[in-house]
This record gives sequence, structure tokens and C-alpha cells, in this order.
Amino acid sequence: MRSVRKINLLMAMILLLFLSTYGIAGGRTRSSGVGVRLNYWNQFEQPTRIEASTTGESHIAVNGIGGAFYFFSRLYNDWFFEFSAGGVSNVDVISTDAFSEEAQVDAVVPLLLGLRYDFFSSRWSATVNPYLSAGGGAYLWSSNFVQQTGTAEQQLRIETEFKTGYYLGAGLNLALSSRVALNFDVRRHFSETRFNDNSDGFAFAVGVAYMWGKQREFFRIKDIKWIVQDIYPAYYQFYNSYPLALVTIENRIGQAIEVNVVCDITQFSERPRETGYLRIPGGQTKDIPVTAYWNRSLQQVNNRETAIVDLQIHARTGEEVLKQSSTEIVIHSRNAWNGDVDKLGFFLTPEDQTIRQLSRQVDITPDSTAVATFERAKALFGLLQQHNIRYLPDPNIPFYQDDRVQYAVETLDLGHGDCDDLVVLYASLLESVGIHTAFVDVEDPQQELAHLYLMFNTGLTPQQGAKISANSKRYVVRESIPGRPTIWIPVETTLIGESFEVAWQQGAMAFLRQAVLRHGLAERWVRIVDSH
Amino acid sequence: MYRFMLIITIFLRVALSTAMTATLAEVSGDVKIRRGLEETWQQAATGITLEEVDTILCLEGKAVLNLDNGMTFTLGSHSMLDIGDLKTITRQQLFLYFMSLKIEKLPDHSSQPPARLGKVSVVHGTGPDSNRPDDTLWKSRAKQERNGADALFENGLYANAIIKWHKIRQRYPVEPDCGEIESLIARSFEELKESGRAIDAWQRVLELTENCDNPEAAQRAETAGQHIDMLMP
Repeated sequence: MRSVRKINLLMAMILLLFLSTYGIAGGRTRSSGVGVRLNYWNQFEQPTRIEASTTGESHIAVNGIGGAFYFFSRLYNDWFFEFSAGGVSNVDVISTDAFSEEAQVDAVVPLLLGLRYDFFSSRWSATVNPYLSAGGGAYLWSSNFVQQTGTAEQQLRIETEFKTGYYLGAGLNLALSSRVALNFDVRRHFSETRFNDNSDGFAFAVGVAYMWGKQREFFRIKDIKWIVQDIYPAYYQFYNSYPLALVTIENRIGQAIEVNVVCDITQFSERPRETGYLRIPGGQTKDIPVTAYWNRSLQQVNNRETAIVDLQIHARTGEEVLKQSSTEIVIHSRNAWNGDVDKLGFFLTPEDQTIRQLSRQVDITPDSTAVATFERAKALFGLLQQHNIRYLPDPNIPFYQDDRVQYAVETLDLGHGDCDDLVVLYASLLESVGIHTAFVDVEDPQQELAHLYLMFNTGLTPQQGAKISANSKRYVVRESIPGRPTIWIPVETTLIGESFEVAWQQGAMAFLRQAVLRHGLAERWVRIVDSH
Repeated sequence: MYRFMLIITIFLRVALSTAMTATLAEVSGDVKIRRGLEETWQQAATGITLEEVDTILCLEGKAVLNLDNGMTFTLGSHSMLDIGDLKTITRQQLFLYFMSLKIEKLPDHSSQPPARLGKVSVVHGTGPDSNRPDDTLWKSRAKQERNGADALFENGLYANAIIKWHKIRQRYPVEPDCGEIESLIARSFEELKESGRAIDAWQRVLELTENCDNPEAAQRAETAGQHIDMLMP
């Protein structure tokens, strides 16, 4: 019973040892190490024997015991180079009396170079790392015989032989810590000698190694794709949710790791933004989108400048490792626009206090409630006329610079603007009273320059078109909501100094000729882009 | 890309220089024309040149037009047609027209911020009384435009007819749609030797006639089936 308990206790201690080293070693071998092994290679297949008698005769035979020193170093990933030098001997001493003795000592000193492949270490989380090995080298065989008979006669014979050979092996490294491992090794040697017909054979070894050098990283940054490197402050709401970059992290070990990416932009971040720890299963790769918290400084940029984006990648699995990466991005001015009409809606400010106050100055008494929207839009156009807003083209801008768009309040203050500015102003006013707007973007192949004007939704059905015009070519029927066609009015906003009727007429004629008759819509050089 | 205003006069010159025209070769009965975006109609007369932005309306009358591509076009009674509808439409333009319809119908994936504080779309002023359309005028106009589209078909302008019928269906939606216009579109595709599109249109006719319970719809469904069988390889 007691012995069973002792065995159980021993097994429990061994298990505890395994478990305690689980996290410490992490299954990742260091790049280099040295060790010693105790070998057993019984080439002669003779038993170890100790015999003695009262008559003074004795026979001591110790076979196959030896040792070796070995050194290994990582070549690439899980491949290691190994050098070993050792010796195994068979000693047979026979004493017949006090004066007669003969001893036969056979030994082999293998000097071997080989390769070792740890085939589970990058995929298996355990501290036990099995491997396969192979190599070859020099086997120095020697056979030594000494005989003394009586006090006078002595015989000595020493023979050596140098042979080459090779081995195939397998084993286990049991990592006790990140630097120390137990080693269990078995090799089949292939080397013949004339001293022994059965010199080939299996050698078993147990040893210990001390390791140093870099552990294989448990993760790496495979790639960082910077999705946005030009920041337009007008689109700031878009950037709050749209990723600036995609960080691709590869988990290089067999167990799951957790990664947290922190993004901070000098001067422009409200605070660093973390992704939170995201789990990456063993051996897998994950793309992690990175966003930032932008602060008010973004809205105050008047001239294009650069900023540094710092990424900190925190990865953990028992231990935590930090890597960093930075890049430079361009912050454009608050009025900069890259010409993308899909983004022009970001410049609309229908909720601006000044715009809301202005739009509510309009007091209409429409002929019928159905045309109230149309009448209100007409009145708001007239309001801009009363404020003497004028069209003034932008100065010539080099192709490498951004276009500049004024916010509605800025155009009101300045009293003028180009076609984008006036579209933004009129659209902001309309949107502030709930009238849907859309930009008409014209890139006429027959014209050198593009153009932009506006259309707004009257909410009228096609059947109600006669309430605003008997000529259906003066308006556009659009299904901005599928299955619900409504009447939209095109307005040439650069004719802000003229009457609404003139601006409407020109907008409608432009749409008729370009979008319809010249198939601009079908050929996609006329696009209708909803402002939101 | 940079935005500058187009000077209207220059624009008009350029536009007019590439526009089509039609001459009224023969006018009989009550025929009117409307210039561009004007609100009022004028009486038509032989010899008048019409621009592509103009419209012709035959009430109790008939008009024969000589187009600048050498073709002659006849428009019968109770028909209305935009001169621009007579412009030559290539197959590529027809294809692009249908593609643009599909693109318009795609959900908007433009990168607008989800957090944008947009205004709720409210159509002010609409009330139950004001929603009732002027049925008589609307139906009359729908009929006239429809006859105009039919005239395009009868005069061999099949691609033009297809686009015109599409526009009419959008402008004058009918509930329920029993596939009448779709069947005309199918026939036009057949005339253009576009079997694939014709089959699609006839199949659409079958789908639409399922919602209708009248003899015309049943007849149309039968016709659709026959044409599909005929066109299938």
C-alpha cells in the first residue's frame, strides 16, 4: 500500500512539473543551446556483469555506457543544426588471481554533425517537443586488450579504426523553463567496424540542455495596410468609423493569443483608441481594423499639414510583447475637397444655427399643401438673392491641390462662392427644412471642365406634376425610394443672381440635354448623388 | 476635379451643334408643338423645324416628320412625342440604359458616416385632399404618350420604343401592372433579334399577369408562353 502511495505521489509530482512549465516555456525553443547526454549503446550485445569469488577470481563487464556533449543552433524556423561528440565503451576485466588479469576495452567516439527538426513546436503548445534527427560523421573505433599473467608476462594490443557513418534519430525535448530542457534521444547508428560484426545499432540517451538566444516570436506583424493616408476634416464623421489601417497579425504558435492595437495621432487624437484584446486562434492570421478618436483640432486646420499616426500592438500569451509602428498622414484643410461628389454631402450643415434661422425666415402660403415643398424651395432661393449672394469662380488651382468648398455660413459671410459653394449653401438651406436634395455631377466628355448643380425632391408624385408645370420636361421623375417615384426639380445654382424660374429652366434644360438626350445618365458621365 | 460654371450660351451652342432636328413634312388636323421647356402649345404647320427638345402633340390629326437622318416618321391621332425620342439609339446605348436602371436600383453603399445627423425627410404640405391627382389630365397625357411610344414601334424604332415605354411606366405607374407594357417591350426585343432579353421580358409578363384576373391578362399570359417556347433554343 505504502509503495503504491509513493508511486502515485511521484506521478503527481511529475504531472505538476509538466503543468507548471506549461506557461513558462510556451513551447518555443530558443535559438541555441548546449547539453550533455548519458548514452547507452550496447554494440556487443553483452550484459553488464559483476562477479567475484572467495578464490580471488572476479569478472567485471560494463557494456555500452557512455556520454556525449552536444551543441545545437537554429538554422531556420524549426530546423536546427546539431554537433555532438562523445564516447561509448565496453569494458570487460577478468581477474583470475592477484597477479593475472586481462582487460578488454572497446570504445567508439562518434563525432557527428546533423540536422534536427522540431516538428510540433510551432503548432503545439505543450512543453514536450518531439523531433526527428539525422546526420553523420566520423566514428573512431578502438579495441584495446591488456593481459598480465603472473609477474612477468604482459601483453598489450591496441587497435583503432576510423570509419564514417550516419545515424537516424528521434527524441523529445522536455522544456523545464525557457532555458533548460531535459532530452530523451534514440539513434540508429550505421557504421561498421572490423572489431565487431554488429557495430550498427540503437543508442539511447538521456540528457539535459541549457538554451540561450531568441525565442521564436509568438506573433508577427505580417502587414500594415494604410487605407486612409489623406484626411479631409470635412469627412470627420466618416473617419470615426472607417478604419485608417488594417493590421495583419500572424499567430506563430499553436495556442491562441490576444492582440490589442492602440492608435494615437499626435495633436489630433482625443485620446488613444484601442481595439480591445482580440483573440487569434493558434496558427491563424487576423486582420485588425484600426480607427482613431479625432478631436476638434481637425476642424481647425486651415492649411494642409502632416501628422504622425502611432500604432502600438500589444500581444499576450502568458507573457506580453509590444511592437510599434508609425506612419505619416496628411491632414488637409477644413475646406479641402478631393472632388469626390459622393463626399460633398459632408459639407452640408443643415443643423447649423445660422442656416436654421435663415431658412425659417421664409413664410409661404402655397396654393395647395401639395406644392408647399416646391414653393418653400422657391422662396429659399429668393432669400439668397435678397442676401446678394453671387457666383464667383474659384481661382485657378493647380491639379495637385485640392478644391476648396465653403461651408454654408462661410458663403453667407463672404457673399459669394463657386458652383460647389452655392450648391452646398442652397442644399443646406433646403435640408434644414426637410427637403431632400441631390447633386447632379456632370463630367461632359465634350467639355474640358466638370460641373455641378442641384436638384430637390418636391415629394409630388408624377401624377401631381401638373401642379407645378404642364411640361414634364421641366422636372425629373426619380425613385429615390424604390417603388415610390417623385418629382425632382433641377436648379442651376450658379444663377443665384437670377430668378428661381431662370435657374430652374437652365437646370432642367441642362439635365434634358445632357442626362437624357445625350444619354449622360446611361453612360455615367452624368450622376445623381443624393446628398445623404 | 475642379468645378467651374458652364457659360450658358456657349453650352447651348455646343449642345445645339450636335442635336438632331425634324421637319414637319405634312400636318393634317389638330396638331400642336411645344418648344423646349415652355408651358404653352403652338399650332403646328408644315415646314416647321423642330429641335430635339421640342414636343409634338397630335389631337385629332396626323403629322409626318422628316428626320435629319433621312427617315420619315408618322404620328397618328391622340399621340404625343418628344422629338428627342426619335434620336437614333444604338444597341450599346440601349444596353447602357438598362444597366443604369439596375445601378440606380442598387442600395447606396457610398461611404456615408452612420452617425451623420441628417434631416428626416418630411414632405411638407401633403395632405389627403392634395394627394388626389388630376385623373383626367393625367390619364389623357398617359394615353397620348403611350400612343407616341406605339408609333415608335410602328415606325420601326424599336430601341426608342423600349426606352419610351420604360419611361412611361415610371411616369404613369398603373396598379396593378398586368404586363401590357412589358409585352410590348418583349415584342420590340424580338424585332431587334435580342432573343435573350425578349425571353426575360415575356417571363416578366407571365409574372405580372399572375396578379391580374381579367381576360386580357390571360390572353397576354398565353401569348407570353407561346413566344417563350418559340424563342427558347
